[in-house]
Amino acid sequence: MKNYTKPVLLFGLIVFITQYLFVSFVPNIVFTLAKYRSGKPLNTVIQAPKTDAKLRRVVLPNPDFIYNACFYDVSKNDLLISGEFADTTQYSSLAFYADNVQPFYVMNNLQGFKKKYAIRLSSVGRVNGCIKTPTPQGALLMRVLVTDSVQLAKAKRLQQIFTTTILPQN
Amino acid sequence: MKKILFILIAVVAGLSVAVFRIANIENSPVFFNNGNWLGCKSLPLGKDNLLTAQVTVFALFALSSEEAIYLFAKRDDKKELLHSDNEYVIQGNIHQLPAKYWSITAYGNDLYLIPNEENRYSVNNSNVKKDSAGNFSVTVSHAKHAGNWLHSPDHNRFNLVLRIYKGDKNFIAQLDSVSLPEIKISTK
Repeated sequence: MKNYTKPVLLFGLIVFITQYLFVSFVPNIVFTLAKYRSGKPLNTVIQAPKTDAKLRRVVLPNPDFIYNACFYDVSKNDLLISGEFADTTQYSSLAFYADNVQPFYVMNNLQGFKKKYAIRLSSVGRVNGCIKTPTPQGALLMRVLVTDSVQLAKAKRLQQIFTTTILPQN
Repeated sequence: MKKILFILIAVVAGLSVAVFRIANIENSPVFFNNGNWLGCKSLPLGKDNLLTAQVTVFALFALSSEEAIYLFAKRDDKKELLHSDNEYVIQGNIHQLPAKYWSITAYGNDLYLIPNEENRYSVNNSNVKKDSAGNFSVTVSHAKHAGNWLHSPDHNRFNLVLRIYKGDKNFIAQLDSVSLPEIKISTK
């Protein structure tokens, strides 16, 4: 009688390794897909219109927010992110994500930060006060809450003044 | 040739197992159920591979729990899947949700916003219509409805998401047991 123990064990091992690797790398795969689907070069600002049902790039979008996004690459350079928070009546935040799409740093306008910000993003982090990224590539997302037309006008202004500038790596 | 086929079948089986595990978010031990809502008070993102994958797939670019909490509902109070053939009512009180911002948003079965002529996608703490005691009622139906209303899709399942930004710390700590808005089939 043929012994099936070895092929069954081998089959189970391949199944286990495959599913483990796939689950582990899903965030990186999703990040890579999102980066290419954005259609914009790295380190440039993507200004999104107010979210509605036409948006089919990101699941579960929040229709109450306006977003600016940037897929960054600070492997060979630093990146200066400049902009302004909304006043405290209108929640706004700046969230930094690694290349596994997990947030590693979030700033919001309720934490007492200065309204205007200029943040240096770096993968080496040798400059004081800069934010060191856990991975050379990632994404950042500016969110501004919009619940009426007045807030919409303010949010659009914040979108316009949000910029990124490539700096030499220090 | 047989060996390659053997490995290929095992890899496909492994991928299937992975997809099933990621999709099986309702039974994740990390999430709690409170009434209709499924959620997590503190997402161990980056530490738990499966949960990180689930959050990436179902809530791309989610914020950390210190910033925002996301609660999902796909079933009514009778544990039946939400379906637009029914009309639902979400009943709550604004004092149940002490936060800088909260919202309830309807999403289709594909997890995208549901197209509608009114561009009505969410009810939040700024636009919710409430009585003097803070009680509110939101109708979720395919047909347009007066008052607080969310549009459900055409003959299809849908989901609701309750977002809570910068919630009161005590409230967030007890999120698995506090009273939250209830989703019921409308009897009207």
